[in-house]
Amino acid sequence: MSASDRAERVAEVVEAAMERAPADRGRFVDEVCAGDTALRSEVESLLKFSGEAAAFIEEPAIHATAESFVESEEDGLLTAGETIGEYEILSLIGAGGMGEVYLAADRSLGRRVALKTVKGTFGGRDLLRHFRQEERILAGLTHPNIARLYGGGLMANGVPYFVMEYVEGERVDVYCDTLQLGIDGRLQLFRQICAAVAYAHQRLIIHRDLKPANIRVTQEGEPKLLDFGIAKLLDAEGSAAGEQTMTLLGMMTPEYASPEQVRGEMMTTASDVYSLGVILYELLSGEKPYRITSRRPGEIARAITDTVPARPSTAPRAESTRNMDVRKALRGDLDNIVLMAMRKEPERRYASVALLAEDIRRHLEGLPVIARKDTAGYRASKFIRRHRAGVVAAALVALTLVGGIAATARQTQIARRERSRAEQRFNDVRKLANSVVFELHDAIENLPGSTAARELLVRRALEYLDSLARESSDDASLQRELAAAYLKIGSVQGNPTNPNLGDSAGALQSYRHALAINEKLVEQSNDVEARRALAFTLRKMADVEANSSDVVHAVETARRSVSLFRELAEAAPSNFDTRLDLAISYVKTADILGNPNFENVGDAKGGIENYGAALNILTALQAENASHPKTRRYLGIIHERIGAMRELQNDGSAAVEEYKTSAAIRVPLAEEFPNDTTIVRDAAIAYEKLGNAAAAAGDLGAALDDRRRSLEIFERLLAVDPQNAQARQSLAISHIHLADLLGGGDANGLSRAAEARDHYQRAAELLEAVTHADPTNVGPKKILAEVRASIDKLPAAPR
Amino acid sequence: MAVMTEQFGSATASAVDVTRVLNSWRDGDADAATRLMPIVYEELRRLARNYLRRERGDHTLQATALVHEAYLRLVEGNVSWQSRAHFYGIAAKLMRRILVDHARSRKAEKRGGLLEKVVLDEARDLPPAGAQDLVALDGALQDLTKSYPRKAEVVELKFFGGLEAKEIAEVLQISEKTVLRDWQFAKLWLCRELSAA
Repeated sequence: MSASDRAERVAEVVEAAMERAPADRGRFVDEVCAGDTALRSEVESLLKFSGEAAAFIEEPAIHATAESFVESEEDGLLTAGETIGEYEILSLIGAGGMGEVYLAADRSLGRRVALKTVKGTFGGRDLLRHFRQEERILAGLTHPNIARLYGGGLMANGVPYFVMEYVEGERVDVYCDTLQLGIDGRLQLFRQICAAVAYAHQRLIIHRDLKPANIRVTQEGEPKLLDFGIAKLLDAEGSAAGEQTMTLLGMMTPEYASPEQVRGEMMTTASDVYSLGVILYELLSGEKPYRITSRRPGEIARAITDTVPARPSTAPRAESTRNMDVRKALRGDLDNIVLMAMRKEPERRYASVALLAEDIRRHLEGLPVIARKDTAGYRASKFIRRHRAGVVAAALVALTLVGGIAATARQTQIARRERSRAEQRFNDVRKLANSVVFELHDAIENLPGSTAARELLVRRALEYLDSLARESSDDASLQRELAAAYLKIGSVQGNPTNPNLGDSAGALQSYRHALAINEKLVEQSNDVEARRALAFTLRKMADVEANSSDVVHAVETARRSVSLFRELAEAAPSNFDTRLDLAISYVKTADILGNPNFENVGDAKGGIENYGAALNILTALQAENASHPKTRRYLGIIHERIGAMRELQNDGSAAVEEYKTSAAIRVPLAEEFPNDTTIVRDAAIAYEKLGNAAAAAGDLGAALDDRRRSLEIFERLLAVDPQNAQARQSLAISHIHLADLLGGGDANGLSRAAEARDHYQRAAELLEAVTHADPTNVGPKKILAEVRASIDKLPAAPR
Repeated sequence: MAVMTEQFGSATASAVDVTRVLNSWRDGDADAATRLMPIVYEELRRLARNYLRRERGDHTLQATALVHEAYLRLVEGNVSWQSRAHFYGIAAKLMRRILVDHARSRKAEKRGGLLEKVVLDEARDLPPAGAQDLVALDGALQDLTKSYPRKAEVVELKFFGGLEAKEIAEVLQISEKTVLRDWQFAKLWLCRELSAA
């Protein structure tokens, strides 16, 4: 047989064997090669590689090499010795699809920095504008594990660049493998990473592009997160809608993109939780959760949105992790933790990065973890499904509580016999429940993303307090605690003035409980605290009533609140807080009497009078304590409100002055308290109003700028707390206002119908979600109808 | 005679040239391939550059698209299937040369003692097509050609040219099934070869 015949025969046998199932190949080769040992060993030496060959060179060569191939066509944009502003380029240290990274020296500060150029076709100027808007927030990210962003600008040729802390370090995955870190070591490192991300989330910044390449570990073993906030900057540029996220970056590293990102939906803190889940998956198992071989967007998206990744314990690759011990270590808790972080539905993941880190800590300390296998049984409860985020947080507390309560239930029965011991238990539980309602709730109240968790916490504690109160209905202080708990839960359920779950009916019911208890307390003892609580509850009730088409009733309720606070203030004229409360109740009353921005009864005159009363009090309070944040906050509010009334009276220039005053108070306040979502929201509103004023004055460019700035803050607020109905509605309204200006409702709007349509469309989607979650809330329904009308009025889209 | 316009630029001129060269090749002009190479080479490089620069809404850089687009731009009117097959064959060979040359130059660059680049971007973090070394693969492919010339050509068309099995079948005038069998075998053979190195 000639050599070529021989070769043909080998190929023939191998190809035929390959068409059989792997299990059958051995016998097939035995049969075919009977007696011909040379043929047989040749064939087997090839078939041995069938596993390895499966994915081999399946991806066309250019996919992997094209980037660098084109890169080498030109040298880097910059050369050593060149200067960009105060930075002197030292060397090119990295390059890729997004741009180039240089090591540079900051000559004025004498430090080394990383200078990152951004290539692409988008306008550098727009990018810069976005950068300016974000600069302060990003520069405020000062965390030892986050690489600082120092600044940015445009080079002479219009190419934008960022200047960042120079981090000398290894990619986190490479670092772990080089040091052959064990599972626990990897988990410890990962927790540090989580802490840094959680820190940024608290400051309302989402990374959006977490991946091993963006996480470096220094020689000291400290992780450093790169590019925080950069993705958002580039992203906002990538699309007018601002939230389309299948971007340059997203596409370059699809492995870490969340399902919502792949679908181009809004990204939230939950998206970062997902990416962290993927990173943890890889760090623990050495494998990627999805085997993405294609670069076609559709296929990538499908893998991420539709495929459930294998449990990490079933994936380990031999070289980066070692053998069965690793599998065993991953099985159970760690599998569950990773897959919980990676759930397809954002609301079913860990409610926050902090909780993910907490679960890992629990695992490390041998405590039971919160993550469960994602089984049908676990999904059974509708409540749990809707409020999973809350369940997670509450579970921490509930674990502690349930033990105590179960014991107490027994104890209270015994109480009749063994009074003193039972009382001890009774007081323990009461203390615990109160701690949940007052300390824990308040501690996380303005923490982004906590709305659902708070509702559950308070509800659980309330149940306990309630059962205790039934045991001893004559205990006034216990009744007071109970009323306060009802008030809190009502607010979380559906008070439009704070982060809430959009359940107006539930809120009113809780408030009525609080009201009934307080009324009884006032009747019994007429003490000051009970009257304060009563006045306060009434004010909260008015908020919700006005928001659920009962505005006539709301006025009455608000007025009752005013008169109670006025009595209290008259009785104790030096009490700062009571006077502030009175002012706030005046504001509420005025809002619903005649402020066109609220559900109101059309009494503009009454509105102006009440605002005036509030302004007098607030001005006096500020004279007493100029730095008091709450007073300042309400001064910001009152000037905005009065501005609205001036507009109503067709006094445009007076309105503009009020809005400017309001913004001058609110914007610096938000800078002082960047973690306080309420105050940050106020700043967004201030920009909105400034936009109105600018539009009225005919300065449309400025008006657009203001409204975009406002929209951006609202987007961020919703992103960090995606279950917050108020945040969703505010964002919708912000879209509407921008759309109006772009070519919709405003008669003198710029004509950009397509852009306007996009924003209306987005508003409609958001409002649909709000009304869907809470059909009794009429506010959003009305607005939705208006949005639809506005869309219809737009000129037809060009074909 | 080529009509040069601002709009089409040199591509129009090349289109005519390439079509003519392909036709003269069909008519037995042995030198045609040599003349074709530089034109196709430049076009492929230019297209690859454009693809990577283009607005990033569409990041699907596909070798197939590249070669097809080069064909559409360079070949005008009707050419015979033989000419078309030649074109694709040449394009795949050129892609191979471009990419392997490039990989070789990068290796040299590293050996040249340049600072190891810290790759801060992910683009190169993806394992390139199974993390194989293109230069080594190219060598193994040359060896494969000695024993199995057609199978090596299938690899060239598919891996470097980015053609689908169906297109390869057309270019090589064999059945699609044969293409797939060749491909399977060649991958095993190359894996073995590379693992021995």
